[in-house]
Amino acid sequence: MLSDPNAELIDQFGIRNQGFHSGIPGGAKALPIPTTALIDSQGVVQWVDQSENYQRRSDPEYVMAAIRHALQAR
Amino acid sequence: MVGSYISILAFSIVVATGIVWFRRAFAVALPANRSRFVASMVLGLCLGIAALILGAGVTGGVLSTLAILLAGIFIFTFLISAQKGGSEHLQPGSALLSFNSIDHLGDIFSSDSLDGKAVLLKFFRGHW
Repeated sequence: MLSDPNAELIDQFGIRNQGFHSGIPGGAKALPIPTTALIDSQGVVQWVDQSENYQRRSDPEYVMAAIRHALQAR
Repeated sequence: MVGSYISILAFSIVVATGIVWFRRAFAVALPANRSRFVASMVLGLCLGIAALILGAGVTGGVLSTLAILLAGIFIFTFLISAQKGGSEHLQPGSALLSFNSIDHLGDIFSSDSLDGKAVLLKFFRGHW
């Protein structure tokens, strides 16, 4: 589990939420777009899931299906 | 009297919808189409307003006000939930950027330690 208190990592990856900031006033200065990415052993992004709204997260079955597909493709 | 009953109904609808919402949120099972949740909250909000107009008494007034506030907050968060953005650095086929961060023990973490390993990287902003 990693932390990104100054939003440096989310800015480095370009996944800062550019919409209305919905965080608690006085809390985080920026929030990420909830993102799940599958990276292979060569460091190449194989699959990315981003929701169209912050209230939804990647469904676990959806993520597992992506992992199984990526493993079968190798 | 009618207003009191309506206020109870409004509050019940809003609270029940909220309970279902948060249970599904914590189970990472919120639907893509949230219109039923929104419709339920709008109904609760409208009933709350109607109850106040009809006269709901003190208790009913409190329930109606709570229903209106809670439903209003939910509807507001729904209206602002759309996200803008996307990243050229996290596209299928792109190389993972090299990065450093702080782990849960306060130690520096380097993405170099991931070399040769398949990784599932997840950015999130809350429990869900």
